[in-house]
Amino acid sequence: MAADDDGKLSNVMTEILLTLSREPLHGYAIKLDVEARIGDGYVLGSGSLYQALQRLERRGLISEVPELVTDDGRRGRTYRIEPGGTERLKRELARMDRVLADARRHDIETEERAS
Amino acid sequence: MTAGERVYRALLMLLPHWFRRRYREELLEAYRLDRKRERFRGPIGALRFWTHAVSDLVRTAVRERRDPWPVRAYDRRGTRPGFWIVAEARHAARGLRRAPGFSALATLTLALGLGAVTTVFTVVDGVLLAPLPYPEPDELVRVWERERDNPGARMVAYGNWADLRTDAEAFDDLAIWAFAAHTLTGQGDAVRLRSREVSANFARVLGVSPLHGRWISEEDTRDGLRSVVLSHELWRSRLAGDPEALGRAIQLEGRPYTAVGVMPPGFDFPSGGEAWVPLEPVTDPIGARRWHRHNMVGRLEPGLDAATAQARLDPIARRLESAYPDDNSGNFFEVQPLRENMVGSVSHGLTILFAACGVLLLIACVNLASLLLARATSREREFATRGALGASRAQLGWFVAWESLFLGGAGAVVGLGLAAWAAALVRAAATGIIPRVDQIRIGLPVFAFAAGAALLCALAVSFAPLVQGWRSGASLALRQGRSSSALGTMRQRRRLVVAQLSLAVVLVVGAGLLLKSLARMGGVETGVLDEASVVTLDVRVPAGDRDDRAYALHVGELLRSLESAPGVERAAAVLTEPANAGGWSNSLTIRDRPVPTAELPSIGYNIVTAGYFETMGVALREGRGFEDVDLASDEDVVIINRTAAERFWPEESPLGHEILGAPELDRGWARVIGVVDDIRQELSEPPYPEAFVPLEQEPVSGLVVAARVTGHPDEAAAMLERIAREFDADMPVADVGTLRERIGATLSRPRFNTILMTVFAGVALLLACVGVYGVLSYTVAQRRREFGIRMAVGADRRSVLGYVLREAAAIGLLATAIGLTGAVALSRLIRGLLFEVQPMDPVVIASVGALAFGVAVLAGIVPAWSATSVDPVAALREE
Repeated sequence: MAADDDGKLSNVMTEILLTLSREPLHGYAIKLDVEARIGDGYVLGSGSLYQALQRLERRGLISEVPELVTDDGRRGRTYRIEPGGTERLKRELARMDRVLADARRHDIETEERAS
Repeated sequence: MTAGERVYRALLMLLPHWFRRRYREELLEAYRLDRKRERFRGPIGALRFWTHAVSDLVRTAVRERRDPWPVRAYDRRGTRPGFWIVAEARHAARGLRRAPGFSALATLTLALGLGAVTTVFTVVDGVLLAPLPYPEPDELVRVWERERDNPGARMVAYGNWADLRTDAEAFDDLAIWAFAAHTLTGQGDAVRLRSREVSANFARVLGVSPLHGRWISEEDTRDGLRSVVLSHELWRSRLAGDPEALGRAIQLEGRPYTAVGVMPPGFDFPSGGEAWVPLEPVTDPIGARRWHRHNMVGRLEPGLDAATAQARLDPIARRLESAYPDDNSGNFFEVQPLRENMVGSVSHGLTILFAACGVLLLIACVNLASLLLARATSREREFATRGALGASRAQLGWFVAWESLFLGGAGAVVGLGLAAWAAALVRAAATGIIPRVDQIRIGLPVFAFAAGAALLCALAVSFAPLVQGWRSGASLALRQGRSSSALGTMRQRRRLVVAQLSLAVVLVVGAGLLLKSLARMGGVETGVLDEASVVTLDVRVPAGDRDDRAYALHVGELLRSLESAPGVERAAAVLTEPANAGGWSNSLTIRDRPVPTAELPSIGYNIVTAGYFETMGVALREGRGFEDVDLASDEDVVIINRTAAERFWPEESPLGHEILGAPELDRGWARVIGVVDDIRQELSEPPYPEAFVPLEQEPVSGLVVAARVTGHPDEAAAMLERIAREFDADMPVADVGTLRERIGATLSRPRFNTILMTVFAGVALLLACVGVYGVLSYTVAQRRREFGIRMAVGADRRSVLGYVLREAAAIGLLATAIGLTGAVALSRLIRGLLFEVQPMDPVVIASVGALAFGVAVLAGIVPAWSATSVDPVAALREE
């Protein structure tokens, strides 16, 4: 049901998909990974995290792995990305690429290149 | 648990419960892990953490509530938006299918209520709400004349109409008509047509035009041409719907009239018109102001309402007052919307009926709510289980709501079926009783009404079980056995039962008052001896070329030929038969007692043949009846009724006084020669003064022939009709039957109201009875154990029986008290429909009280009996 999912992805959702595209993780690990990638003191609130997870799950982009216990032995729901999620993430990244290319074509400097 | 964790826990309360329930543990775990992190250590870190945490939770809560999507722990299929609502619907439908008895009872209950209310709405919609079938119907008004000191409206004088037409700027135009009757001959049996004499602008004011041919023209009325416009029905039945018939002559009153037009089907304005002929202008200058014989209909200028128009007529009325002080002093005009005029007489009765069946629907709803409540209690554990498994309040709510909606839908479908059937019955029964009854049909407004009412009922009845269900859903502990809320439900149901029985009492009081009132009206003494032995026929005796005296003799011949038939004692003819309510009246002048014209009292004016009082069995109090010598002489004579004698000659005998003269109208004085006992002119009014003059003095052709017969009235009626038709083939004969039947027909509208009201009240009482039965059986079922124990420790059957019956009696007594109080409070609403019965009639109130109490106790007998048959051992072994 999710392969044709065209709903918008919030930034948090995109980040979560990116994190889960590498390996299944439980909620808190996802939070840490996203915060680390964004850096700059960014804090991903727990409420926002689980809400985003819930919505991704509903759209069939990710799913809960029932029996998995994390390596550090803590109990918690573990999530993995679904094929539809991978698909959707690729489209999102492609869209970002187009945005970036467009910005460069118009000589809008991104911070990274300027520095 | 640290203080911080407690605060975080409290903050989680911001989140909607479905979200909280699912992620609570994870969120708390995340809190604990977060607080161990370097960046959230120390006072600065703590500040940073709480700032983030609060804003995060608030934002999440807001987003989640704006776009809610409860996740169902026990049903993972609920991943599509709206899916769970559909799932609840399936769930509810399954539940109803599994309880066919409950579903059928609930549907039937609701269908009865919805059927009744929809039936009456169908009538209300067709008769009161549907627009009149004329263009811009709201511009159409009736205009009456009123006298300042007289409460009744009266018809319009020709001259005043002519002045209004030229002077009244508030009106586009005004038309007048007079009710008439024309005999049609040469087209099948002679028939009396309900004809209307109309001004030429009549059709233009109404905004109608003929289907074929043309309307009556100005020349027709001005030059007194004999042209006639026919109703579609008459054209079809008597002229075979032949278009060639237009332009040809038909015989009306023995004279040729040119048929110039045919109106479209359905047009019969005013009420039942069959033919329209030109109105003869009133040329007599005094008569033009004095004879109030015309009905007026006007079309207002666009945008004006009746009140404004009336205000603008006042200056004209004052001008006419000073111009014609003799006839117009104290005179003013009254403007009434045409619709109000056409249906005003029935709107009160219909409103009462509508209210009554609204109450019936309410009772049905209460019954249904009570049934649902009982069902909710028996399923308390199911709800508690679902609640424990994470079903949200919304889910349980939707479940209950779906159940009610399905029942409401089924009730609406069955109710509409009932209403369609009942509306057909009403249509057939109310023809001639209620105006515009042909407009009654089950159309879109009726469907919309039924659907709306069903929806409203469904929502209303789901309220109590909803609260009940939420309570059980919220009580996570799956208490075993009977829960405490059963008692609360019990109390709630008992309250509902008392409420519905009280409502039924109100309706039954209403029906009782109407029944008594109808009986009173049917039992009114008209003054006629044994009305069932008097056969009456409407005739219109053709005058032909006869002069007045020859005409009277001709009528006499008809009466003699009727009297010659076996079993006929006496026959007579009269202009207005008893209890007809539509007689003529006149200003009473008394010679040597001059009174200003405007202050003259009114007296009923009737025309009879010599044998009238004998035929009716009415005694002569004083003086003598009409005799041949009167009829042959040139001196006018008159007989008055007892009320007239007592009112106008309280101290002396009226005999020998001369009355009814009007020199300015060239009318002579008539000498009072006798006083007779009263005959009721209207059933609902006490007798009023009446004067009888012999037919020889004032020959009229539309007469009611009455004959007192000894044999079987029906056979006599058939025989008399045959004789009358043989007497003159061109004489129309109609409405043959006994005088009693004729009087009974005038009660048709009150009878119609009463029958419907009685049916509603009966159904209401039945529903309430079922309600009482239901709640008591339920009590007994809930207390089987208790009864078992009582019986085991030696209570005898009588005491158990008494216990349940006392319960029933308590419900009955309370409901009767509340219901009667309500009925008394509402009684003034029904006063207008009552005749010689007070709204607080003690007999009605006492018998209804006894009835309601009796019904409640009766409904308790079966449950009481079943309580005594509880087997103590079996009851104790249960649970």
